[in-house]
Amino acid sequence: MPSTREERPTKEKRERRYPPFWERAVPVAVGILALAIVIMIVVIVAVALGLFPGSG
Amino acid sequence: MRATNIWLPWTSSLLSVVFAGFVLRRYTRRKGLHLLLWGIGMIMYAVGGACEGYYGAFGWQPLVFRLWYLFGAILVAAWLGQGTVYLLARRRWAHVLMILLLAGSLYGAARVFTAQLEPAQMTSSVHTGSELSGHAIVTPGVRVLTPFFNLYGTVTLVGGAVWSAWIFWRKRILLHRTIGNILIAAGAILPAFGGTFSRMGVPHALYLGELLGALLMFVGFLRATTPMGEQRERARAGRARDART
Repeated sequence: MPSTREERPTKEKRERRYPPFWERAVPVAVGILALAIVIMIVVIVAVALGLFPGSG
Repeated sequence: MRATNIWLPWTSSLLSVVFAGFVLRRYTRRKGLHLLLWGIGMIMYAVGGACEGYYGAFGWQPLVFRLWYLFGAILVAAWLGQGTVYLLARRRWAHVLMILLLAGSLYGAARVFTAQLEPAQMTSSVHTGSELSGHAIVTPGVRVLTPFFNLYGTVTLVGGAVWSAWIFWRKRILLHRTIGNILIAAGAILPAFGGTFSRMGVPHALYLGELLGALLMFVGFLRATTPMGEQRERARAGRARDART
């Protein structure tokens, strides 16, 4: 007699997944963009303070 | 070299007009202030590109410079970002920020259109003068406005798109929107990097950044608004059902 556990799909099986490429690519892209935002904010503040070349 | 300073910005401008058309057409069908503001933002993007193309083709013209500085350098990122604010933030906060942006934009316009200009200053420092530059504004207190608008625009537009992509990824839903938001974020940050490299004396960096930025944002918008795979089939079935009833 099959157990209830076998009849019901496990939680892992029901979890939504993106295709493998996007599972890996999305967090990498988000990380790079988050870093780019931080860099741009630093640059913008530097320009505002006149610390950047050509900003004077 | 000179031709690049003409066709790059003109292409950006043309692409931005088409992009704005897509966004505003979606606004007329679905409403949503975020779409209206993105459409206005892309028209500003187009005005900025057209002014740059004019400068490349015909040279210095004070009115064209003022329009470029106001729409292309000061306002565009902030207005696009305000669209994202309407999409993600509480409506009351979005309204408050909209009023501040509107007031700031009017003040910026007044300052830009009354500023004293000196085009020879565009060849100062590391600038070559081949691209338009805010150095031509010699009145104090005008250029200092730009970083505030751009900071707001970067945080809201790029940050909002990255945030949306992250939320969709965590829930593993709507892959097309995840991809679209990543492309929009990448496209939105490119002109800022282009401007930075331009300040460092890299030729064409600003105009190239703007063109690639407009292209990526457009592709991202189309991706985000076009369902993929099973979702597309469901959307198609839904439309067919609606047509029958």
